[in-house]
Amino acid sequence: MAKVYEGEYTISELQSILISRQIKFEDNIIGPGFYNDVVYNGALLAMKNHAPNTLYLSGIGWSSLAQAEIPRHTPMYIPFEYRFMAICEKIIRGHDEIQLSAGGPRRHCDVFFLGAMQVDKYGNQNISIRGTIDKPTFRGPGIIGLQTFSTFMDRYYIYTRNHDTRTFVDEVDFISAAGYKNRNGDRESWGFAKHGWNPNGPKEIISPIACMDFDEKTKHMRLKSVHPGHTVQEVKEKTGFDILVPDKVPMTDPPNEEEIITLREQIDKTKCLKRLHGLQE
Amino acid sequence: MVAIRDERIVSIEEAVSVVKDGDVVGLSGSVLFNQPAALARAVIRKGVKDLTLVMLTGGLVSDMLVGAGCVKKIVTTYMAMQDYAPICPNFQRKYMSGEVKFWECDFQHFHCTIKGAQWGMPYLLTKAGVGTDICKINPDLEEIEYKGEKWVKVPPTPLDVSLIYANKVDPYGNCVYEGSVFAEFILANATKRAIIVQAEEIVPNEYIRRDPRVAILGGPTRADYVVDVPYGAHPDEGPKYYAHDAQFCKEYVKAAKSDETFKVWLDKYVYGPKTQAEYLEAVGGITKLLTLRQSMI
Repeated sequence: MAKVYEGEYTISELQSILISRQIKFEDNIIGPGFYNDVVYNGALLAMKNHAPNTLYLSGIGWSSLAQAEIPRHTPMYIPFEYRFMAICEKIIRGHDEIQLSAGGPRRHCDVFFLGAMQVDKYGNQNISIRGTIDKPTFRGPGIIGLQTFSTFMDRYYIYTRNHDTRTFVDEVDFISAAGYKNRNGDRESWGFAKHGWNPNGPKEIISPIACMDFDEKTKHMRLKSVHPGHTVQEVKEKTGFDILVPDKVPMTDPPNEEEIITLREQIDKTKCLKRLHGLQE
Repeated sequence: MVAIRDERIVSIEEAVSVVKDGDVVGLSGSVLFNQPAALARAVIRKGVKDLTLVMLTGGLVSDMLVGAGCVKKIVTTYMAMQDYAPICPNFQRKYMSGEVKFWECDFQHFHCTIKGAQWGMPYLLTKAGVGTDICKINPDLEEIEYKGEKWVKVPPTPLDVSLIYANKVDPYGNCVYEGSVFAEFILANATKRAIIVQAEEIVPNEYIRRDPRVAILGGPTRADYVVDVPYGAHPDEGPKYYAHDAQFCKEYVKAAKSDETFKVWLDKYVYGPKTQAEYLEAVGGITKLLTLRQSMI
């Protein structure tokens, strides 16, 4: 068991490490998100730290870190950069990439981490609009491939930059990616499992203050662990619905020394996880 | 007598003269990579209206066309500029005012709509989007039942013209990419009237024949019009050639906050400089270009 890291770390570093822990040795392939520093660094950390058999898909190709080192100056949150080719072993074309994990006999990607503008108690996610379709009050960037990823992959997670009542809402204004169930039905009625596609909504949600999962029966969001320095009460107050809280809520395992050292020395070489989000309060 | 093959090299003005009001236009690239920036500026100067833009993911260049008032509808999956703007500013403003329509879709729907056009299909089916609100926001997407199961029915989007960035192109329209490739190939295949390609350099046909594996667009999808525009993707990254221009992107995002400030920006960078040389001077000249080139290492 590696030693707990006792120095300071940023929330982004912690979230990256939590993401890396979700990637297992036998996950062959990861489809990471579009521009997302925390997810990219987390995925790459897993490859270097404990899952060397994984392949990592960036916008430019399939990469492995088993033999390769990350180029010194490459910001790891820019997926299409030419410099990224230094760690690629197979270049992809855009028109191949958009078919990725599209439901054929061979699954292209196993794991994906979605961002979210809003997420609700059943794991539905919104990145499109706030307000109603007729009268939107805010325009988000768009769905990208979130429906592809949440439908055809083995499992997916949601990562959020904020934990507040604006992000964690009772019901999302617009369903960009469907969770376990919503006003349009549930995963079973949509017929995903029949084809071998994902029968579940998001497996876990990683916020800056806590980790959440979903009750097996009711599919309602449930508190799983609270990050060091935060409390159950705080999570309840910052969540826009009644989150299920088990009798005992453990503290999220803090980073261990191996994780922090590998992350800082071999993955996040441009220190974007430090620069972008500041030290933990 | 030996017949001579016609070269396809034209001036940028000649190339964009085929773009007409109301056209459905495919754009290459994504976010801050491989977008046909120089062609887009020429389209703005020509004053084309009511375009429908189609791209895998939009970015600064598509947002610039929106801001200049050339666009009535956008078909894409995403409109953002990395950490410079979480949502493209002109697009966000004009969407909220109702000036620009957005056919928001997932990668799967984008693929179906372009492949459907390429194959001449009335529609394609996908599971992506079932259980979501995608069909409510796009009236022509439909959730249907097929053999007792729900599917999303995606209509085709045939393109009139596509504006495409390539790293290298030969005089006959064969295109080479050194780095990222996005939806160029499927967009070109779905294009009816003209495939217009701008490239960093025009290479001789021998360059391609030395290793024909390098050509990504060619044969039936070779360019109809070839334009030579060095640093033509600026402010985007031109893979292998130069990095994206961070300073310029920040200036853009600031300017695109309102119609008034963006008009000033357009005068400075689009209407003012008539040639690529004048444009490159306006964005910082040789010092800037060398810095961007060195950032590639």
